[in-house]
Amino acid sequence: MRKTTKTIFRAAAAVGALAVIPAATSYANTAPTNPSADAVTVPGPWRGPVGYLTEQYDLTTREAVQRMEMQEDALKLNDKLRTGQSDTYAGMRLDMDSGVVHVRSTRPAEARAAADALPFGILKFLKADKAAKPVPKVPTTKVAADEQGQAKAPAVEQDFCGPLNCQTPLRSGVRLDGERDSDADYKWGGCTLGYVVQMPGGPDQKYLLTAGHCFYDSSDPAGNHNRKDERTWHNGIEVGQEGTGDGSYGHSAHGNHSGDDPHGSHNEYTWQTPDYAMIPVQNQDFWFGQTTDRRPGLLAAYGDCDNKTQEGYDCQIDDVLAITDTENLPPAGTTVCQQGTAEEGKTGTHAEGGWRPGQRCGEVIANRDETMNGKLVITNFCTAPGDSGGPLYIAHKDDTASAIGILTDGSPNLSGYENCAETDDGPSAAKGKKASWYWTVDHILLDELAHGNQFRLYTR
Amino acid sequence: MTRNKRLAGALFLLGVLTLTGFTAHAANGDTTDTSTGDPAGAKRVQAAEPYKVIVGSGDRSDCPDGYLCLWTRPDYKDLGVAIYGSERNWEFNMPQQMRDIIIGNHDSVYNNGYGEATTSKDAVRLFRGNYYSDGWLTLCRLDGIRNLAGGRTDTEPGRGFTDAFHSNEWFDPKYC
Repeated sequence: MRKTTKTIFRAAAAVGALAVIPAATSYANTAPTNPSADAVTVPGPWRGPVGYLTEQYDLTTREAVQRMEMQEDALKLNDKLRTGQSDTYAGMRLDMDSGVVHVRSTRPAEARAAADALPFGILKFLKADKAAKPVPKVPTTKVAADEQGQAKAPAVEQDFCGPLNCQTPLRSGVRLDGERDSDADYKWGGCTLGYVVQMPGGPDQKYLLTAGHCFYDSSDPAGNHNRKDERTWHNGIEVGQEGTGDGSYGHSAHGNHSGDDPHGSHNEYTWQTPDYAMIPVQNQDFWFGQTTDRRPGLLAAYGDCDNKTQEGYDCQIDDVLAITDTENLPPAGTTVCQQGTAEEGKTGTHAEGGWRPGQRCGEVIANRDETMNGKLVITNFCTAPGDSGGPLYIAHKDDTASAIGILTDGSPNLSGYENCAETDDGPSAAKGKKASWYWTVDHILLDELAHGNQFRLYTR
Repeated sequence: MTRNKRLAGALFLLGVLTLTGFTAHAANGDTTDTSTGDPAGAKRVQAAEPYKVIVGSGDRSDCPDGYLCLWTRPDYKDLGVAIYGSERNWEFNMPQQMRDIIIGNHDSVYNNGYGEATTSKDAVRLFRGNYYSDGWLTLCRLDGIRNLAGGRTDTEPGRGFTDAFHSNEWFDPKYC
């Protein structure tokens, strides 16, 4: 932290804990006087988030990039305070409109001191009555750094790869075509792959992590989604098959773990119920290769899926991100993205209004108290049936992504990206708003850990 | 033609081809010549046969080095065809006997090599249509699919590749 900023901090402390702290390094609006100087290169992973910020807050591209830089530093500070000052830290909120980070702590001065190590611009430290209840974090989900201590990022892939029919290796955010009711009308259901997980130290078996209601829903009066050995496909190639309970396909969980269902449990499809499935990967050699260097933990972020082709949608790949870690509950205001494969008029997805597969970006709108103590994350953007199970993540400019959660439900889809209705269901922070909510990856992994299954994200 | 008749005919063809030396260096798949007749001692790449008839025993290593192989049955079994290099139109360019074996009749597939031995193009895309069209899947080197059956049975994206391929293209992969 620069000396001038420290001086200002001291001055601010003298007048109270609610001071706004401007700094020499600022993320606030710094529009150049020459309009042509506004030209700025947007890192590939930030095209979606910057697009959201410029539209939502009427920012210039430069300002939006600066906000994302601010977010990167804010998330570092958030981690630092959560781990180092858990007794006093009460959370933060990112105001992307004005470029201010609000930090709440019972001891603002200590939080302020922690920020010294970061190149912060505008911070607002607020006095809190009490610290937030710590959210458990899965200790094994962090990826091991390489020998240089840096997480490796993949090269950008320019090859065509649509979310409905992508190639190897298997990536987060692609379509899962699931068999349903093959003893009846034999319908197909479309959902989205959240993440790939595995058990370290166990057999080299990988699992698809997606929404539980995509595969099993005991509350469905028609008895759909109830077969136990249904297969799942991507691009016409089998990618997963549910367990039958006799161990023939390994572990196949559906959250909740209640009852005597050999698959884990029923899924009542309410927002309070852990809504996830872990499906053993089939054709593993094909999807991930016979060696471990096939770029595991990838997520291809798609934008502009406008040109429909026979095989789905010809989408621009904004970037290919390497998933490196999890972010349990990002602060409210954090710009995040989700990828889904719902599309209008396609079997099993039920989306309307020209809905297309691809990446959507928005922001986190809830605080920890409103999210079942960090088990859920709530965002302000619309989603549609078929997006379920899809990954919610924070895109970093170094071509990495932090996994946050998988989609479980959201506002009723009416017509198109922006026209979902305000929900009257779900968590309190979502009611009356256009919102979607997600089970956090950390909570899912902890839920599995409580049942003796030590999963972690498949990252490298 | 029924599958059995096709199998019998193709086995006869395989015998004839073997007797006539058509598959002269298919046994070990070596496509290089290291004879001492080369004064420089350098390896000289022989021109590979563009297609070979193969018989699968269930071991995908039956596929000769450097080739893409397809079998008429799952698990790399029964008759098959090995293809060297990119081929944009199997129906037009593949010899009649091999077309009869494999076009519209393949259940397993394996990539055992380098499409172009002097380059890094060792992954192959298999297309449903001629001229590299109508959707594809990618096989990295040494990757195979034991059973191509299934996929969506409707007309949506995600339909399967059983019996579907009509062209193949080798390329330099990003993630293999």
